[in-house]
Amino acid sequence: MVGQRIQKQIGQTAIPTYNCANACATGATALRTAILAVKAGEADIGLAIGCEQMGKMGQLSEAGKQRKDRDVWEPSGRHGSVMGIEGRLGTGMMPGTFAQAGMEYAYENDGVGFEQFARVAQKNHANSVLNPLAQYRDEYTLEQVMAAEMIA
Amino acid sequence: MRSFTIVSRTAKGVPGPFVSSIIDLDGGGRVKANVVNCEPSPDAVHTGMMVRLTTFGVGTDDEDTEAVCFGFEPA
Repeated sequence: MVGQRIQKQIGQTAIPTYNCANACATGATALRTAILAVKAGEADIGLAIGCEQMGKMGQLSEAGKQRKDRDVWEPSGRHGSVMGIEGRLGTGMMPGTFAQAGMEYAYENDGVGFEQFARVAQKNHANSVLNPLAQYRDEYTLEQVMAAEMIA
Repeated sequence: MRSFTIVSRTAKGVPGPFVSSIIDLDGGGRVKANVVNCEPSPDAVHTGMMVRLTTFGVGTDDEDTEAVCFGFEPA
């Protein structure tokens, strides 16, 4: 309940507080919630605040783990599978998921390819250097980005 | 094939590299699956290529029951 904890520091003045968690869209969802309140005429001013303490491994630390293969298989779960499906029925890990989204975008849009996505990464890393609170603050050249290890 | 990616750095315990793909089916519908019987290389896979359904074994348990997975191969 981060919202309430922040509100206690700045004063609980009978204004509504909402907590939202929405994966990589959490910040946008917080902002949208404030915008909707203003647009609805419920508030004159909205404040969207975000904070997070992340580990360094992200999805690789937990969600990517395979279910332990059993000695005698029994179908289970929503797919009725006998083993983990990651890597057997495609990938659901974030690098591969976004790689597929990017490949589809490139397929449907002329002039979009590897270099355009690499330029986005180069720009984003350059911006991180300007933000003292960024989790990583490393700048890379376009050449370094394009020569980096392929993940997916 | 609507989209694909060659997954080089895989989740723990998952052999790689492998090709994950998004396939538009004839007659509608869209599925995600591996592309098999094909080098996991940008030279061998490209968006728009035609593929067909196939199955492949992914191991046997202690009672010799084989697990079968569906995937796609170049048509």
